Amino acid sequence: MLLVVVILLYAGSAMAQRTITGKVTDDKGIAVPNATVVVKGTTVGTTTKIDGSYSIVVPASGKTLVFSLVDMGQVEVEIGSQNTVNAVMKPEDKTLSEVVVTGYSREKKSQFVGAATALSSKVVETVPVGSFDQALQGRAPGLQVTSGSGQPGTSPQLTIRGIKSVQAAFAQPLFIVDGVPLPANDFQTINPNDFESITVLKDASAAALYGARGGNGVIVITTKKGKTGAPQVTYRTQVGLTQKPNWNKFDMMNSQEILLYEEILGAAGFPTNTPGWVYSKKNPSYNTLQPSFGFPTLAAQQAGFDKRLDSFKNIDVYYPDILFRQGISQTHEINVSGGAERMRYFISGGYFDQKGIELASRLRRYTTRFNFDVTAGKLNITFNTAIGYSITHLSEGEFLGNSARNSFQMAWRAKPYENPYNADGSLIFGASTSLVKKEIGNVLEGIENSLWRQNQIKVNSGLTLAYRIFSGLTLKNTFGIDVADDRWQRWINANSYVGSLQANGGRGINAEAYEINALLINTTGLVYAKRFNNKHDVEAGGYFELVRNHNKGLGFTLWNLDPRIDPTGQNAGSFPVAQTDQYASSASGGYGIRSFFGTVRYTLNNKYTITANAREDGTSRIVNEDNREIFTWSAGAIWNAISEDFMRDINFLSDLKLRASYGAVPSIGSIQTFNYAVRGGAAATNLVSVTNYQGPQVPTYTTGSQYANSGITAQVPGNSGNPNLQIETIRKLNIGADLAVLKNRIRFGVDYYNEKTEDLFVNLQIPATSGFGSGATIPINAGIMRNKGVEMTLSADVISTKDMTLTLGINHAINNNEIEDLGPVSEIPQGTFIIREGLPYGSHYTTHYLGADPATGRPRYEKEDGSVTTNLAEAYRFAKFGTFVPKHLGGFTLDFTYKRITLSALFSYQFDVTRYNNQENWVRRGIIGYHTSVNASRTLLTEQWMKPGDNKFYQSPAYDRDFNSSDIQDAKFLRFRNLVVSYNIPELNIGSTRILKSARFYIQGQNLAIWSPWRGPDPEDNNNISLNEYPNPKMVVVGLDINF
Amino acid sequence: MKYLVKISLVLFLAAFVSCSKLLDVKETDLITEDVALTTVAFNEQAIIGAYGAMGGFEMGVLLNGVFSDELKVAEFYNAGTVHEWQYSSTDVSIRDTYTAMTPYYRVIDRVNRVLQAVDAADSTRTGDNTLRFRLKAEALFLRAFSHFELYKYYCANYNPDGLAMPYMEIPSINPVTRIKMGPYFQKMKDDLAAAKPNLPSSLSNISRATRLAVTGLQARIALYMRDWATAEASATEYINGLPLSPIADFYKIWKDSSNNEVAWRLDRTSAIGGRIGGLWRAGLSGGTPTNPQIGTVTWRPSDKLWNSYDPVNDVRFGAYLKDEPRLAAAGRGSRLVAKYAGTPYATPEENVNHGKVFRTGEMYLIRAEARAEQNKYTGANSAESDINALRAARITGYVPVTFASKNEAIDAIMLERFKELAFEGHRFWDIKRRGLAVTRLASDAPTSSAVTLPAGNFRFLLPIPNVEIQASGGLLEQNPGYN
Repeated sequence: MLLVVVILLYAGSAMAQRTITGKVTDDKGIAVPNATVVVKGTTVGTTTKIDGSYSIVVPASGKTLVFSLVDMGQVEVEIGSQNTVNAVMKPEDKTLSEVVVTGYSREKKSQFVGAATALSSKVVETVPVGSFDQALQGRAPGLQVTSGSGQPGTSPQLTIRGIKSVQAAFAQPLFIVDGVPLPANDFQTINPNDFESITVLKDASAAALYGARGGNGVIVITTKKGKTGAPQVTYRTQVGLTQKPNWNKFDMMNSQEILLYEEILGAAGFPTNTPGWVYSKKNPSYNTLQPSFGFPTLAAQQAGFDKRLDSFKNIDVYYPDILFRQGISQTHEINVSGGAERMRYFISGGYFDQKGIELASRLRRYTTRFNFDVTAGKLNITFNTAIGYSITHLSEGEFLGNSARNSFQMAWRAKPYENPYNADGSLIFGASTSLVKKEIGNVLEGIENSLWRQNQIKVNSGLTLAYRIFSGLTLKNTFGIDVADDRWQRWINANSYVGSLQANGGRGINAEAYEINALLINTTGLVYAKRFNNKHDVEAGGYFELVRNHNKGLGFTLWNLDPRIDPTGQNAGSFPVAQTDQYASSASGGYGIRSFFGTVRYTLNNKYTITANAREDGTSRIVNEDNREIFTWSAGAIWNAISEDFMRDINFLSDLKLRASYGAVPSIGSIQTFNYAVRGGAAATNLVSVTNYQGPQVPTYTTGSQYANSGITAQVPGNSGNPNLQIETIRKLNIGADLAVLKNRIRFGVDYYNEKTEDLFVNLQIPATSGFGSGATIPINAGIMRNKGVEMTLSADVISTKDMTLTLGINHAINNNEIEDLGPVSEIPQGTFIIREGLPYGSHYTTHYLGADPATGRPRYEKEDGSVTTNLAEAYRFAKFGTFVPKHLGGFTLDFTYKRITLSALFSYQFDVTRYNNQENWVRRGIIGYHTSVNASRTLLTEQWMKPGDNKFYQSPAYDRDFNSSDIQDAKFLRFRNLVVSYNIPELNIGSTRILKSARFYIQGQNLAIWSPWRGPDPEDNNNISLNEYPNPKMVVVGLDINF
Repeated sequence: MKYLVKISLVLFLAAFVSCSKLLDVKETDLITEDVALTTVAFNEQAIIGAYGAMGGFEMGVLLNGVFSDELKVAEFYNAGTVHEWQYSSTDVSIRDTYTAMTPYYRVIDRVNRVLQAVDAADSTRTGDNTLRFRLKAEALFLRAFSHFELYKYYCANYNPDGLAMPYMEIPSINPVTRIKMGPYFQKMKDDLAAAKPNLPSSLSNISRATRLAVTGLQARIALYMRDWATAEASATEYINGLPLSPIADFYKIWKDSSNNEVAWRLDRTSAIGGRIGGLWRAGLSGGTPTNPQIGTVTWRPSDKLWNSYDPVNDVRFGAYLKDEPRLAAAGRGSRLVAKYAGTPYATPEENVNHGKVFRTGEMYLIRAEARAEQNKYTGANSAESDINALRAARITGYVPVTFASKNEAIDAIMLERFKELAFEGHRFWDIKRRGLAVTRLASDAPTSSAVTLPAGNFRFLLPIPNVEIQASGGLLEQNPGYN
């Protein structure tokens, strides 16, 4: 069809007046092939040859030649009376505003039909975060970046245009680096300073090229290339501090106050075995003390109690000062780039070291990169390789979560009257009771005597050969390898208090595990690109791609360790107790994908472009052969209206484009997978996991349900299998417009999208008669989920002079998610949130708390009919408290330069989002079951019901109000995410010796401030409930980049 | 340059060739159904998996205590809806603790898979063919046993036209419907008849089904069917095969140091199967064996039960109950259920005890009831002689009684069942089976409204969990009184 159009439109040759020849070179004098040469105001044009030369017949009216090339922008040269016109084209800094990198191709923005956000390397360069995706928050409209942990090197959760699936609710987008996939969560071993561009592909048109892997969006990264010329050497260094978080938002009681509260509870009939009550004068036993406490008289005993209570009152420790530190970070990096006429290179080596605020947490990273490309006649060879090694020390407390060994819990949970140090500075630890607390001492002793470490070797490498068969037709093959090789160790010293608490003898524990995850990819493509008659621009490609993944894991656990050597399992003693389980195992897995795909683009007069993509993936991840072939397609069009004749007179407009795309993109992540148990011992210490792709789809057996004394290993049905399973598909519509006015000084973009997930997996209950238990489910393809939204970007060059520039930018995205259909069911409760037809994903689902009953102090709740009850059993669970997936997301930027000074600021925000504050629930629970061991918020002193007639929010200590709507808080925030102030140091020569070409000195801050109604250290998290997480820390660094 | 093109083409072709393999990448670490049960030995592993799923035993023990007059509230109470008979079809306690459909249909599914596969399974070892028949027999026995347990939870007293449960004979994830009791009981009887000859008559391994266990179940089923002649005959067969324990050794049964009276037990260790005594008292005490911190007591024996024994002469009192001085000293309620207490406090096997499924004591009571119902309530070979024989094996210095009427005999039998079979999973079913009311002492009831569950109340039948009604697409019929 398209071909017919092309042929029909193929018109005769233009009227010849005179022939102009010339050569196009870049600023280094290197020939520029494939540049477009057009006579301005006409459709007459040609392209330059391999040596940069061209020849064009110019009509009489032709006055100017326009030279253009992707990556090099556009240059206009007046012809005058010459017959030879040479042009010099410079690689443009503004590349990103002109080009969209889709991974398989680079397209001019005026020909790109979809919705993409291209970010320059500046957004990640030198940002002091261990995982670069942390730096993307607030940068791209519609890209939600929420960090669940401040552990250095942890990846945040990335969600593009809303949650599209229940099963794959938080599946990460596909990351592609120079054509090779890079799995999310390995970014701690990647140096983002090597990046050139980051492009977020959001709609169907570009994502369809990636087939079933593109359903959750694609993030395409390119890395830096060398430029022809003498070597450019850059050295970069950075030192900085990571700051303690703000723990004060809970408004915790100090020692005096919590001792008073313990006394209030005791006096009200709720005694606790705590100093505030046991030693209280109001305690009835105070006047009847027996001499068993070692005092001869009652008066002496009372004096002893008074003294103890007094000393508790005077111990008032602010634990965050002990439990957290100011983490020091530093980086060093050197990169060299350059090249000769046919060969260019970029190499780098870097070291990154960041200590987290938690005492054990740290990331160290060593990285190298070698990017190399050669042009040899018709052959172009590109070789990009990154190799990294990282050592991550993790916070064991964070992993343990709800544990007295978690610093992030004990910072607020522990009663402030514990003194963790002896007078000589040594630690007080051991068995802790509510009268003699050693909790903080135990946290610190635990950290000192344990290790949780991940060592990763990361390789991401790609080799591309492109052979130009003849002008316009290129055969291209990319072969890529991505490997993550992980070693894990969790060790606890045998000769420590925490070691004595370990299972199987109380002599420490050493669990180690190893995992390798390797992905091989080969993409072969034949691409035809030609401009006919300077009017018809055609590009068509056919591709064939193979992906193979190999995954292997193994692990073991040892107990009864030798305390003389650490941290190791060597010399461990014999197994201390009778044992039936094996504490070692291994598993392997993997998958293959075979794909064919094609892409076609046709552009007329650089005004109208239509594109279409189609892809077929076959994958071993789907067992049922009938469902194994997955089809993806998209089509789109863009109207470059600014090029229309009738727009010529509208001078204030400098850009106007209208875009639309539609397609169906399946999501491979939607298919349920299992993990093979790779145990390092007890389930809690499974350090690695190997994905079992086919397991959920086939009926399986597994060992389980052991029967004592039988001497035979029991085997039982593992799962029923799900033979009818097919992939979820997302139908994506995108309509967008780009507008610029005042010579591009003000730029505006808007996109509307409507995405419908079909064949949404819904968990269907299967009967207990199946043998899988009452409530067992299998996912069936039965539902529909919809995401609709609008994304806007606006940026303006407010000041644009030679010495001073000021650019302001804002981006905002609104997403409306709705579960439209759940097939056989209407709702699926998921604990504290619910999947229900008509509601957005992530709607909280709980009882509605209405404060304390003034007469009785009982907690009051709303019943289903809206009336009030004090009986929890009658309280109805509502879904009217919002959702933990924010509806509004955005960011704004300020970039200012004055001569050599540059200032860049980024603010990010989210709103229309609520989350459970479980931490606050603990400190405001108001019952002795909690406050025997949990410090309380001051609010309880004033806002808790204590006697009839009290009109208070929190219930009497006699009753538990439970976990409910009172724990749901607005989690909107505005974060001062990043600030960089830099000074460019000019060239420095001593005599005739150049010391440096240029240098840049900067101060950078990350997470500098946050404004939020949330009461807790951090409103940002990757789930619905805040409980003991590692908050995102504030960081300040100073850095120096030197170019030699 | 040409050789590069050639290399590219070769690579391209190689890629094409390997692509079919990519689609057939198999999971190498899975046991798929088609290889799971290919040998007799694998089938035995699957049968062991069925025994390992018999956690319904503990469920029944707890239910019959909590729903009846055996237990009273102790130091922790969150079971109001069940203890006070307030449950609906969506009750959380029922869902989490008493969904008998989960364990028993699990066992049934597991044995049905063996029954499907075992005939064609390869014999790889000597003796496999004998084992094959035994495995089939065990599968049929467990299937009948599990269906009988389900019947007791969800169905009314026996009536051939009454509604039973689905009788599962092949594995299926599709919804099924309830069948009538007539065919349901016939299927159980058929399964047992087929199982019996191929089970070991020896009692050397009572951890797995024995021929006498089938006899015990036949007696029990006949009792529920009010088939008195069969109940008497089967109970007699059991009693003849396994007499009552000598009185001096009775306590050893509950220390797991004697296998007296038991034809089938469910083996438990702290690691596998867990602590049955944890049903009443937190599983493992803190502290040390010499200075234990006894865990929270969740249920204690009812005063009604406690007071029913002669604490001096009845050996059951000491074997079943305990007045713990350590608790009394701590100001805590001191009466404990001691039947499954296991090893001493704060030692590894505390509260661990095997589950005794069939016991001669029960068989005497079945036979006594069957004989009384046949009006053989006094004289030789009567209810009277059975009760006297049983009591003589339990009470030191016991003086035989005589029954003047059938009703007197029945009342005595019911009281004796209460005392003999306490915490063995019978009480609530017995009250229901005899059409009686649950009657608690005021001192045992958590509230004044939870003293009596009137005879014939709809809550004697547990609700089919609402999720199961939904999962069956409405095919499964709910019990009367629930919606």
